[in-house]
Parts: sequence; structure tokens; C-alpha cells
Amino acid sequence: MSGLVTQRAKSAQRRDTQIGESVLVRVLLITLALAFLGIFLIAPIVTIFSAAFSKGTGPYWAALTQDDTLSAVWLTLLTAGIAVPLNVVFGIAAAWLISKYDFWGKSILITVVDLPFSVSPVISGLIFVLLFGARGWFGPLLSEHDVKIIFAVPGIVMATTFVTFPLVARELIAVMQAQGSDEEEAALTLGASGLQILLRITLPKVRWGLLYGVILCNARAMGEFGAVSVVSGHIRGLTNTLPLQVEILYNEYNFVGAFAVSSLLCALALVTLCVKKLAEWSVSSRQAKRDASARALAVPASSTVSLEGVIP
Amino acid sequence: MTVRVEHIVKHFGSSSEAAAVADVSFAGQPKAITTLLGPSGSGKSTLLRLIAGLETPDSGRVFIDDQDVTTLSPQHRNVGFVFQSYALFRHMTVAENIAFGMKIRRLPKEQVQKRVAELLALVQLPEYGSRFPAQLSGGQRQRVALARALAIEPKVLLLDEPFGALDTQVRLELREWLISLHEQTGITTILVTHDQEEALELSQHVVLLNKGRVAQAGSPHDLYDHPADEFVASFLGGANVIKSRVSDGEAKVGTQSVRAPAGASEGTPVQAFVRPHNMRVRRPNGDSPKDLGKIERLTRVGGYVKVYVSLPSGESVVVLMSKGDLEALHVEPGDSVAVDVVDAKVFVQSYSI
Repeated sequence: MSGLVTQRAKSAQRRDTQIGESVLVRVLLITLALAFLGIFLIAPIVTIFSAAFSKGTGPYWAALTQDDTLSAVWLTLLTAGIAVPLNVVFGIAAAWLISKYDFWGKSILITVVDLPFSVSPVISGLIFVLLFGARGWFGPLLSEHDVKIIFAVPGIVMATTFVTFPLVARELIAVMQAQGSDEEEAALTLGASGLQILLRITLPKVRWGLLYGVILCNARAMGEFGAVSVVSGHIRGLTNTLPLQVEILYNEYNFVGAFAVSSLLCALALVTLCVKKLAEWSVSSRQAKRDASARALAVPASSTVSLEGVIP
Repeated sequence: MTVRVEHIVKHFGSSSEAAAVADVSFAGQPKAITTLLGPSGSGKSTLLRLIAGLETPDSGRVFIDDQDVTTLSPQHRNVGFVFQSYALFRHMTVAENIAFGMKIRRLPKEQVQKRVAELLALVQLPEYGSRFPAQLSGGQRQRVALARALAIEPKVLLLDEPFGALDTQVRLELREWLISLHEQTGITTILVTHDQEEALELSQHVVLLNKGRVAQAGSPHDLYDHPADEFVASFLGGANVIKSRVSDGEAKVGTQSVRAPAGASEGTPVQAFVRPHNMRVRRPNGDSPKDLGKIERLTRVGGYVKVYVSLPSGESVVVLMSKGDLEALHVEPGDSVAVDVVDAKVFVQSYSI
């Protein structure tokens, strides 16, 4: 027994010397990592909240309940509320098409889906100005019918939708391609229509991937600055989203206001991350539960496979 | 309840590539299990998917119950399809999986429940209705898949390598179980497999496919005993190939001469296909030494011994003999032996390489 213990201790020691570095190096590396984390992640978040509350809760609350800020909150929610559902629909359609069918130009389509990610958000905004602005392609037509897109809410929604498009689609394409089409084909031979297959088989299969994509898409939609900044025109109380409102307040040396609004965005991001974590945790715990029960079943399962003469 | 395909052609990718299925016609035997057998790439799975409607043929017709279903969507063909990968709906319980087709057909709830219970009993998983597929073993999953396919009372049952992903023991058990299940249901079944043993054991009618064409169709015995060509002979049962030339209307195979195919002229190269159990080794007994082979290796397989013999022509053959017979001979590797052929199929050698 004691021999076993010493053996274990020895092997543990050996493992230390094999994998681990010397104590000094270890302390140095950990300190470095923590310092990096502190400077680039923790400090900024702390700064936001401390600056926001630097003059107490009164001014903080006053900054948040300002009319311009409230309308920025409203516009941000409206934008995300339109962009996210649109991208869910487009994303499901694109992912379904790409993962279930083979057709000419499929690789081009995959590249195009990724385009909004590879282009700078400022360019994304400019695209819409060039299309719908006063001197844009559709400009004369739009002004003729008195429709305003650029420097108005429609432009903001369009730019946000464009920038956040790949988030849902990419997530779903990966999941759908990994899962294959066998279950859909089985449902088809069992008599299900295309819509029934989508609603009863495909969507339940990809629901966690979809949720994940929606969360990321929502986070980006609320926080988008570059593209929205180009198309918004920064009209107070009308075309300012939360990120734009932060910039304006900051440029006016209204630090409490700027950081108060920032803290709101920051809280939104934290909530988003928590929901994402919850979703992941729920998936993995379900998976673990299934694995565990599958393991538990393994022994009786093999004994139930004996088949001879059981059929009446 | 019949299945018939006529002159089916199917290409994948560009039409210049070889066809996956090239002009195949066959009929599944009503109320029997018909096997589509062939090596991988022979087009057997494609053919099955064409019957189910999961693929569309370039040309040709598919008939189910004498009705032309070539342009009918799989949704309306009413066939039961079982995949090698099981393809169970992973987010549904076993009972929900089985009920799926019936719910789509809007059957009354009580009827669905009753039928699910019956089917669970039929596939011997009565306690498993509330489990999820991930909680079942491979054999259990495939039985659920079968129950799900049977639930819609299909006109035909199509099985695509149903036991391919299972280990040998379970595969053998499920094979026997499938036979008794078929006896109970009597449903016209088409089974795709690359496992000749499975084909010979399960079905009364085998369609052997090679490179997208039907090589031979018939009863398992027919194919085994009277192979139509070299491919059939070599694919079924494994055979030694011995090359020879026609001389005086006969071809020399081992120490013996067998009749050459009719019409083969003097000197024509021929190939003899001999099953390992259709050969015997014996001690030389007045044979000319140039006819004798040499034992290279002995490998015991259960009650049998595989004897590897190199023939004077340089060809190696495998002879399967019972352990007792071989022990009576007292031979060892390195000994010279005569090789007798009990039965051989001789074909004029094709010029393809």
C-alpha cells in the first residue's frame, strides 16, 4: 500500500518535471496572463461603471433618462428587433440551401454570405449611401416618391442587417453540414412535406446552433457603430443608436452621460454572454446526461439483444 | 406489392463520367426479400434511393404495384426506407420516432398509440418508448428505424445496408430476426448489401450488380453454382483463379483437365474459377512432377484448414480442407502435393486488364 503511494507520488513528481516549467517561469507566465487580462478586459469594464457612477446615482439616472438617450435606446431595440428576425429568416434559408442542395455557384454563394464580415463596417455603410443616398443610384427615384432611407431609420436597419447577416447563417451552415440530411430524407419517405420537415426535423435539430447565432447577431446588431455611423447622420433623438449616442456625449465632454450609456450597452453585452453561456451549458449537460444514461444502459442493452424465439 | 425498374440510368456530376447506374432493369419478388448485391461503387444504393425517389433517374421508369411512380415525390410513394446510419430523429423519443409517419398522416391519437405499442413489441423494445435514440445501442436503433418504416404500412420496405454499421455478433442476430420479422409481415422487401453471406442467407432472389449494371440475377444457388461470368464467380464465395490454355478441348487446372467452354479454339487463354472447398490436396501418386504444387502455409480456421499451395505455373491457390482430412495426409509446409479439382468454372479470358 505504502509502496503504491510512493509510486504515485513519484509519478506525480515526474509529471511535474516533465510538463511543468520552473516555479519562477510559472509565476512569471501566470502574472503576465493575469496582467493582460486585467488591463485589456477587467480594467475597461470597471472604468466604465466607475466613471458612470463617479458623481453618484443621481446624475447617472438623469443621464439615462434623458430624452435623447431614451430615444437612442428605443432605436437600438427597434433596429435589433428588425435586423435579428430578418437575419434568422435569411440565415435559415441560406443555410438550408447551402447544406442540403448542390447547385452551380454554391461556393460563390458561401463567399457572398461571408462578405459582410470581410468588409470594413464603414464600407458597408458607404455601400448603402452610394445606393440610396441623394446622389446614389436610387437617390432620384427615392426623393421623387419622398422616401428617406439614408439619414433615417430604414438606412440604419438595412446597414445593421447587412453587417450582422453572416452570424446566423454561418452558425447554421456549420451545424447543418455536420448533421447531414439523413433525418430529412427519412422524414421525406415517411410522407412529410418540405415545410413539415423544416419545422419538425431541421429546426429542432439545429435549435441550439440557431439560438447561439441569434445571440451573437443580437449583440452585434445592438453594438454596431461603423456602418450605422455612416448612414445615420447623427440626428439627435431621431437617428442615434446607443453607440452613436455614446460618441456624441463623449465629444461634448459629458463623461458621466457617455459612460452611463456605455454601461447600458455593457450590461446588454454581459446579459447576452450569460444567455450564451446558459445555452452552451444546457447543451453540454444534456449531452452528458445522455452519455451517462447510454453508459448505464450499455450492460442491460447487450443482454436485451438476444433474440431467439422471442417473437410470438 | 411489386417493385419493378426498367432501363434506369443515373449519372452523378458531368455526364461524361461513368454512370452510377447504367441501364438496369429488375423486378423485386412480391412478398419476398430481394437483395441488391455488389461491391462498393456498383450502384446498388443509388438504385435503392431511385426506387424510394430520393434520387431522380436520368431515364428509365420505376413501378411500385404496377403504378408508374417515376415522377412521384418520395413523400407520396409510401415506401419504408431504412438507412445504414439509422437516421432516427435525435430530438424525439423512440415512440415519437415511430409515430412520426402516422402523425403526418393525421391518424387518430388512440390508433397511433396502439400501433406504436404493437410495433415496439414487434421489434422487441416494449420498454423503450420513452428513451431517446442516443440512449440505445446500434442494434436497438436499427430496430426502431425498422419499426418507424413499418409504421406507415409501406407498400415496400427498402433496406440500405441496414446492418452495415453493427458489429458481427449483433449483425448475425439481427439477420435471423429480420428473417422471422419478414415471415410475420410478408412485406415485399429490397435489401442492399455488399455482404454476400447476408445476401445468400436472407433472400430468395439476388440481383448482383457490377459497375452500374446487372451482372446476374437469380436464386442464390444459381449465382453460386452457375456464375454467368468471371465477376460473378470471383465475387461470390471467393474463388481461386487459375490461368490456362485450351488444348484438345480441355484446359489444365491443377493436376486435372476440365472441359473448355464450348467454341473455345485451340490455344485460347482461359481462366478457371475454383472455390477453395472444391479443391483437394493429396500425396503424389504417380503424377508427373511438373504437375505438382508445393505447400507454402497452413492456416487453421475453426474446424477447417486453409492450405496455401503454389502451383507449378507460379500461381498461388487456397484450398479449404477439413482438419481431419488434412491430418490424415501428414503433410507439412514445403511438401510437394498434387492438387485435385472437384468442380471448376472455365471462362474464356477477357482481354480487359
